[in-house]
Formats: sequence, C-alpha cells, structure tokens
Amino acid sequence: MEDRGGNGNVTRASEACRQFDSDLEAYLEGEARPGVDAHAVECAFCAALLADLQLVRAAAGGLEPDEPPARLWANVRAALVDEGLIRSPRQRGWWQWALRPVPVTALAGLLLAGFLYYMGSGGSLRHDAHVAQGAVALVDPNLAQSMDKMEQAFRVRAVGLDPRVKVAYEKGLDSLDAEIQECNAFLSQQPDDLLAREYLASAYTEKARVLASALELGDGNVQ
Amino acid sequence: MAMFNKKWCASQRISVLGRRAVRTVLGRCGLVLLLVPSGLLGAAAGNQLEKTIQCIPTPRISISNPPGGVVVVRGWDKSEVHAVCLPATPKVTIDCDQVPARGDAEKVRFTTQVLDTQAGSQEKTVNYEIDIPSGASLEIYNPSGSVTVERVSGDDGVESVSGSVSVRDGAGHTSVTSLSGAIELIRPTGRVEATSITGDLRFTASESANVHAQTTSGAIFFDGDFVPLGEYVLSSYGGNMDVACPTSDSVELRARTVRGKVNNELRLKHAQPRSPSAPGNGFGVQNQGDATVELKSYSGTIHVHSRP
Amino acid sequence: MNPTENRTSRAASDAQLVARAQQGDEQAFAALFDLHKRRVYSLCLRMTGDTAEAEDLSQEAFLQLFRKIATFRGESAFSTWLHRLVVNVVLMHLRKKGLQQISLDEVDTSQDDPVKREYGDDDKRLLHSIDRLTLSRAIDALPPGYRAVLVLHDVEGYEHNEIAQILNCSVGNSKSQLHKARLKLRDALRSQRWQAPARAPGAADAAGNVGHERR
Repeated sequence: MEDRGGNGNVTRASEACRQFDSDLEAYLEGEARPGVDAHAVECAFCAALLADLQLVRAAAGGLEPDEPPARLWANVRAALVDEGLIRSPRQRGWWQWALRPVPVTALAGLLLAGFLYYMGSGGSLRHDAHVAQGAVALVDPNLAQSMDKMEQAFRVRAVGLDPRVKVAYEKGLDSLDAEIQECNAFLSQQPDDLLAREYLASAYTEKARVLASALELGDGNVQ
Repeated sequence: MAMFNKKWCASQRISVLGRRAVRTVLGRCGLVLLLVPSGLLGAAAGNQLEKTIQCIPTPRISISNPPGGVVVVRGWDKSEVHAVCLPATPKVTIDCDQVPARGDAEKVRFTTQVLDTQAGSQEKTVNYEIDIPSGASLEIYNPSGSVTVERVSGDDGVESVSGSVSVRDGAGHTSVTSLSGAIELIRPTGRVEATSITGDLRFTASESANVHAQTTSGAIFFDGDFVPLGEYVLSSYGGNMDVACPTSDSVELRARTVRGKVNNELRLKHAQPRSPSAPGNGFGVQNQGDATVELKSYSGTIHVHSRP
Repeated sequence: MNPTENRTSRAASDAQLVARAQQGDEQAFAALFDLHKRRVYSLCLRMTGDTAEAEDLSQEAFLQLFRKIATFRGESAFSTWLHRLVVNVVLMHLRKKGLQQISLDEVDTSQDDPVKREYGDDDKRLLHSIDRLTLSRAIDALPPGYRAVLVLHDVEGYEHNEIAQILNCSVGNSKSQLHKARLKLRDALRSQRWQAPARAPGAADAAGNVGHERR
C-alpha cells in the first residue's frame, strides 16, 4: 500500500512498487511478468510509468529516417571515381594520363601498364635469359628498354641532386632491383607462386614511380 | 604581379611517390582558380620570416620545400595560420599564396624558391614551423629533413625522400610516402596509407580502421587496436614485421610469406577464410574475426603476439 | 507488401546490386546508395545529434562500404553488415572527439536506484503523445551510451544480441541500458511539459502524433 504523508504525497515507493520497478525491464522485453499488469491496475503512478515507457518505445520506433543532403552522393561518387572503384565516363583513360606533358611520367605509366598486362596474361618468366646474369628481367624488350632509358636519365640528373637525396634514391633503387632479381629467380623455378608474382609486380611499380619522382626532382630549378 | 592558373584538387592525398606536392594538388576535379601571390613573407629579425593569416576553420594548407629542411606543423584551435620560416641563407626565400586574396583564406600555400641555383644544398634549406587550424587538410612535400605533423584532423598527405616523417593524432586520411626515411604514426584514428622503400614503419596506439603499410627492406612495427570491420594490410619485402594484437580484439588473421617465417603466438581458431585468395602460411580467427588483418612478406619474419 | 515480404524483397535486390557493385558497376553503387542513404544518415544523425557531422560520417561510411564491398560474402544480411559498419564509423568518431567512451560493460547495474517517485497528481498523467521534433531533441540530449542503445534498439530495430556485438557489451547490459535510456527519455519529455490533451488510442492529432503502441 502507498505510504502517504500529511500533504497527500507519497514519500517513498511501496514494496509493490519496488517489485514493479524490478520486473518492468523484463516485462518490456517481452518476458512474462504477470505482477506488472496486476500492479498497474492498482497503482496509478506505476500505470502511468508503464504507459509512458511503452509510448516512448513506440514513438522512437515510429521515427522516420531523415533525408540526407543531395550533395552526399556527389561527394561519395567523386571519391569513388578518384579511388578508381568506379569508372566515370568523364575520367581520363590511362592513355590520356600517359600523354601528359611530363614524358618521364608517361614512360612510367606505359611501363607499368605494359608490365601489369603482361603479368595478368599469365606470362612466363621461365625462359628469361637475363635471370642467370642477375640483371633486371623483363621478357618484353620494349618494357625493358623503357625502364633502362629512365634509369639512364636518372643517372645523368642525379649528379645535380642533394647528396642525401641522391644516396636515398640510389639505395632505394638498389633495394628494388634486388627484389626484382630475387623474385625473378624464384619465379623461374616456381612460376605459379601468386605472392611472389605480387611482389614482383609491386617492385616494378615502385621502381617506375621512384624513377619518375627522381627525374621530376632533378628537373627545373629545385636544386 | 605574377598570375598563374592552377587546378586545386578537392582531394589532397598523395599516395604515389614521384609527384611534387604542387603538382599533386593539380588534380583532376576541373576547378580552376587564380592564385595571387601575396609576395614574400614579412621579415622578422635576422633571416626568420613570420606571417599570420586569418582563415576558415578547415582550410587547405600546402607546403612545398624542395631543398628540404625541418618541417613542423601543429593543429590548434584558432582559425589562423601562423608560420615561422627560417631560410638557411638569403639565397632562398618563401612565397606565400592565399585564396581568396582577401578575407578568410580557404587555401594557403607555402613554396620555397631558390634564388641562387649555384648555392650549395645546405645553403638552400628552409625550416618551417606552422600552426594551422586543427580541422585543416594538409599537403607537404619535403624531400630531405624531418617532417612532424601533430593534431590535424583533416586529410594529411606527406611526401619525403630521405627525411623521417612523424604524424601524431591524425584523424583524417593520412597518406605518407618516404624513400629511405622512417615513418611513424602515433594514435592515428583515420585511414592510413604509409609507404617507404628502405625506411621502417612504426604504428603506436593505432585506432585506425583502415591501414595499408608497405616497405621493401624496412621493418614494420604495429601496436594498436584492430577495430571491428577494419581492414589492415601490412607488407614488407625483406624486412621483419612485429605485430601486437590485443587479446580482446576480434580479428581474422592471414599471414603469408614466400621465403620468410611466420611466428604466431596468438591462439587462433582455424576457420574458413572470408576473403577470396589462396591459402597462406598462417590463417586463423580470434574471437569473432571482425577485423581483417593481412600480413605479407617475401623473406622477412612475421611475428604476431598478443598484447593484454 | 507486409514488413516481412518487404524485407525479403529488399534482401534479394541488395544481393543483386552487391554482386554488380563488386564488378565496379556504377549504377549498382548508386542504387545501393539510394536504397540505404536515409537509414545511414539517420543513424549517424541520431547518434551524433549534429547534421554536419552526420553528413561527414555518412560519406565516410559509404566510402568504407564501397571499398570493402568486394569482401562481403553474404554471411549476414547486407543491411546488417552496412549498419554495423556505420555504427563503427560513428563510434570511432565519438572516441576521436574525446567523448566518454560508450563502454556499457563498465556500468555496474547491481546498485541501481529504484525509479524516483515524487508522487503528486501530475505524475499520474500520461505523456499521451510525443511530437517528432521534441522526441528527436530529447534523444540527442541523452548521454552517448544511452543514446546509442536506444537508437539501435528502438529506432533502428536491432536485437540485443546484435547490439551487444556492435557495442562490445553483454546482452544483459544492453537491456539494462536500454531501460535506463527510456526512463531518462521519459523524464526529459515530462520535464518539458509538452503534455497534450488525452485522445482515444489510435487517433492522430493535427501534427500526426499517435498515442498508441505500434509494436
């Protein structure tokens, strides 16, 4: 029973109300708690609490989703195109990128595209004569020639580079050459090793980009 | 007054070694802006140059320092860019451009200009110390000398050749490339791409949900959380890899190597791989396998151990 | 179409679109975006309470989704996978902002105070109806932990076992936090003294507010 003070207000919850509180959470979760309904019939305050919580739950469930601003898709789409996840009709093809006014970068692009096409077509490196001599091994002579030209251009321009930067480039290229040589040697014995092929492709990609970077740095007035 | 047309790309990420920051921001979005150089920075005592620019809370900041030097950029809570630049000698100077030319800047660019091309390397370096709004996005090209970026929540793009790079509390998309410099990321929360050919890559207290790290002969150290539905790809060719994984994290781990070794100290359940690829040297699931962790090396040792 | 048929039909179209999106089909990306944009944005908005943040987070969530879509294997419903991703994006954002981490497992529920009862005539009166704007504001004002559970369960319709996985807590904690969130929400709504005249259950007022239980 409720305990009412002289002013007509209850000063503390009754034992039944406390039990109601204790069972309420489970009741609202759908568990059987017959005491909740029974007490709600007797106690107006607890009945109000129960009805309110049921209303809150229903109202929250009835909230309609909000409409996002129209620019949201435009921003998402632009980022997806930028990352190459979708191809925009307006996006330049790789051949247009390769024809940019920087011939060095064009060479790097053609080299990379050619190598990746070669690797993707399942080309075999088994018959590569350069492997035994430890040289950079590319079956396609055009690709090998392009890479050689870039390296020669780098050697010429490296003279004018900051010594620290020059050493960094040389060590980096040596490291990539070693990676290429090792992978080629391994793949000549185990051509189907996917991870080794992945590393070989990655090494060529990085080498092309490092050379392009070095050539751009050696260009113009930066040193 | 020199006027020149430039394209300023909305996305300021440098993920390819081989482009200058200036050309990198000449992106593909087709927006053409006229940059009006505001001339030389105001000279303070000696060679030090100092400038304060009022800007919007999320400006785009770019620093192009081809001769190299020490670059420190810190995020702060003011809508101002405050730059202190120290050229080694008067043979080099700094241009500062802002767009728009008047009012709060939306873009600010610092470019080191060499005045005497015959000067030696050490005579042309410039050190930058810049405070920028923490919501700014940032693009730095600094081939030699260290780069430190702290508390920037916009996208960061840093390109170096021989210098080390340290990015702390980066909350945006962080993209860092260096040729021989070490790369350190402390408490990143945004997406991270880090590449060094011979330098080490170190992640400390990472909370990022997307990490791609690659090195050829450097080592990789990863100590951080593997967030549910996160994607982590760490690749080293010849260097070793050390990965600490909290025991409470939910990861699907694949470790592959061609000629190296995988030392796995985690207690993993072996389950069907979710990602389509060839089976590797080590695969397993910790807890529910919510994060995807891929560790690769050619000849380095991959060591995975637990962290409480 | 009833809700179950709706869900089945949606799942089937999701599967087809996902397959096409995995091949880089732009129209499939656009269609998936269109199908889910409102729920994603609303989830971000309700969990952060800020329209600018919600827009940024929605963009980040869709980008992550489309980057990862190749790894979706169909073990769960696409919409569940998507919403887990969205919640993770939001949680990461809240952590980054330095807000109190939503760690429901740390809450000690054994010493709960009973529901306060300051009995007076007003306390017998029901809420009767709640307008959308007032409710949205009240939800936004909840502490992050309560807000997250309430939004995920009552607004988005996740089950407690799903919420436990998403928020890295126990099912019991999810239930108790939800109950506390509803109580807090009720207190907030009552303190605003919005009370409307009593209506018959099922009848809507001019603002479209309905005072009957929908579940």
